[in-house]
Amino acid sequence: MKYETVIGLEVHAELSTKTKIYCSCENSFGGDTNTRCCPVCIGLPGALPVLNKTVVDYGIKAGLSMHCDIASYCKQDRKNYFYPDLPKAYQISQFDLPLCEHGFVEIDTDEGMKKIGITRIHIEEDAGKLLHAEGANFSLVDYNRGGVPLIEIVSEPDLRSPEEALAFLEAIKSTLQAIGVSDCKMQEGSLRCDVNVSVRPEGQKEFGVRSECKNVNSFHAAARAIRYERDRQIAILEAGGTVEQETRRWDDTKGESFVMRTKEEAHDYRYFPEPDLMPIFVDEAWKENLRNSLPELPSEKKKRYVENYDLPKYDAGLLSASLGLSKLFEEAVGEGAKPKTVSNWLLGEISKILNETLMEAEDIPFGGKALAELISMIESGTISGTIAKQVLPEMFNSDKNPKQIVEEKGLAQISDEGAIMEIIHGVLSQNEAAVNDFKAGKDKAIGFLTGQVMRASKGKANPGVIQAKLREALEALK
Amino acid sequence: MAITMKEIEHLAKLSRLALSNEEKERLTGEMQSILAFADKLSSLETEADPTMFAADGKNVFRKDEVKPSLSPSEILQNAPQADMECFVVPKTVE
Repeated sequence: MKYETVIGLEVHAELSTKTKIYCSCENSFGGDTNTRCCPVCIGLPGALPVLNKTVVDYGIKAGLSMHCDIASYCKQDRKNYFYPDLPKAYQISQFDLPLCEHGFVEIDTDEGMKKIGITRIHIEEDAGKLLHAEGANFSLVDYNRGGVPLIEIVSEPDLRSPEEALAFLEAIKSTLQAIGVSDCKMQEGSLRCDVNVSVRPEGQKEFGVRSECKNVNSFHAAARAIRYERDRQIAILEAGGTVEQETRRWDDTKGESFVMRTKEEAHDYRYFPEPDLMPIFVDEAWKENLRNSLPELPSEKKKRYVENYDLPKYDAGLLSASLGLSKLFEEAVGEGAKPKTVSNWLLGEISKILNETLMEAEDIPFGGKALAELISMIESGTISGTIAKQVLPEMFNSDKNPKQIVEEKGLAQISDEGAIMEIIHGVLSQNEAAVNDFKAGKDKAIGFLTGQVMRASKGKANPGVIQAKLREALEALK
Repeated sequence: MAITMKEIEHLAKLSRLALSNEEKERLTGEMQSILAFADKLSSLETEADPTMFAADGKNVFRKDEVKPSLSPSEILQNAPQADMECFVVPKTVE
């Protein structure tokens, strides 16, 4: 039987406010344990939370950028559960009256643009971090993350494949980054998601029983968890069994998910209105102010890149999705570099380095001006493309500009005909066999000898000059 | 609504409390009388909307400005057990 996969996602994004959601402790990542804590965020009795206005601003901005209705009235609720990372034994969240509802984001699919519904976006606090020492019979808790503001974005079950889920996550990430409410750094846990998956026989209207997968910490893991869950559920149905509604924990190193706890008990959160926090009223003026402050969204940027810079849709999509890459792109183009050439560098060599070093594009230490300089050095013949690829890692590792790097390392291209001729003569005298091949009419020998000359010059010889001079030298030997 | 022993056991489990049988029985009775007390409200004739907040007020906000936190030693001074500038809790690996 053929099955259809139905996927819904719950995305948690840490907001990049200066302070936590209910107290004035600094909101940042890393640092020593329990250094950004106070009576409010470690839940001491009698401590009173006061809502950070910027959290509401950011939540509304997120909602507006995803075409949501913003609630004119909403409130915060206590979600009760007992776990050591939650010192109050409840999380302040929003239950029945979230800040934003009924939105959508658009994703590119093979069948064109598809709207994915956003059920709701609400604000809530993050929990502390549990540390497990190897072999110890206890755990340690660091509450620096406790009280860090989050928005939870819940999608409708509109996604039908791991690829669509990935596109949705990319769209969420690029939008949140573009509007400046979250840095979305996956490796710092700023963006996390829970994955809800069910399967149903193709053509069936009712949804199948779904499972929820937690602990999904990268987009790659989300796609893997979805594939695993789809296959697991289909196998159960094919064997005549029934899928249990349960919460599972994704283990990305094992590539499997495991049952965590039964849904009924885990979801008995006994929500009730948070009596320590007053309700939130958002009027039109507040909303419109924020709407007017929104920058260009990635989807709009993509369109502009295609129309104004004549970039292929593919390039425009990748660049506009990344705040870091699109910033570099526009800076470099502003310096006069050719758009397509800049795009090739950003999506080629630079993305390769980012992938290898797990660095985010926003953390690239040089600006678009340096990139434009590198490109103009290639175009003016000062360095070859091959050498440029050696200069680039140096730009990541030092704060020197490309010109300085080329000068200091003596990487400038050799275009001097005399100097190149000297190298050619050296190479020819050491490669008699190839020279004889050429004399015997095998033109292929030229390719080999060109490579040898390039190698002897450590990649610095101008390829055009080599071509001309090598043939000249060989002809003279005939 | 009547509170049964089963409800008490469920709540105890959610709260990670180990209760003896005598405690469960006592709490069943106590919870029942608390609920009965609160039930008196239902006998009132009202036309008002449900009250979600005891106090009046709206939009009470704080500016997004960092203020000093406490030091780890102050934060940990009431911890039953601390180690490596962290709270020590029972092992919690799922």
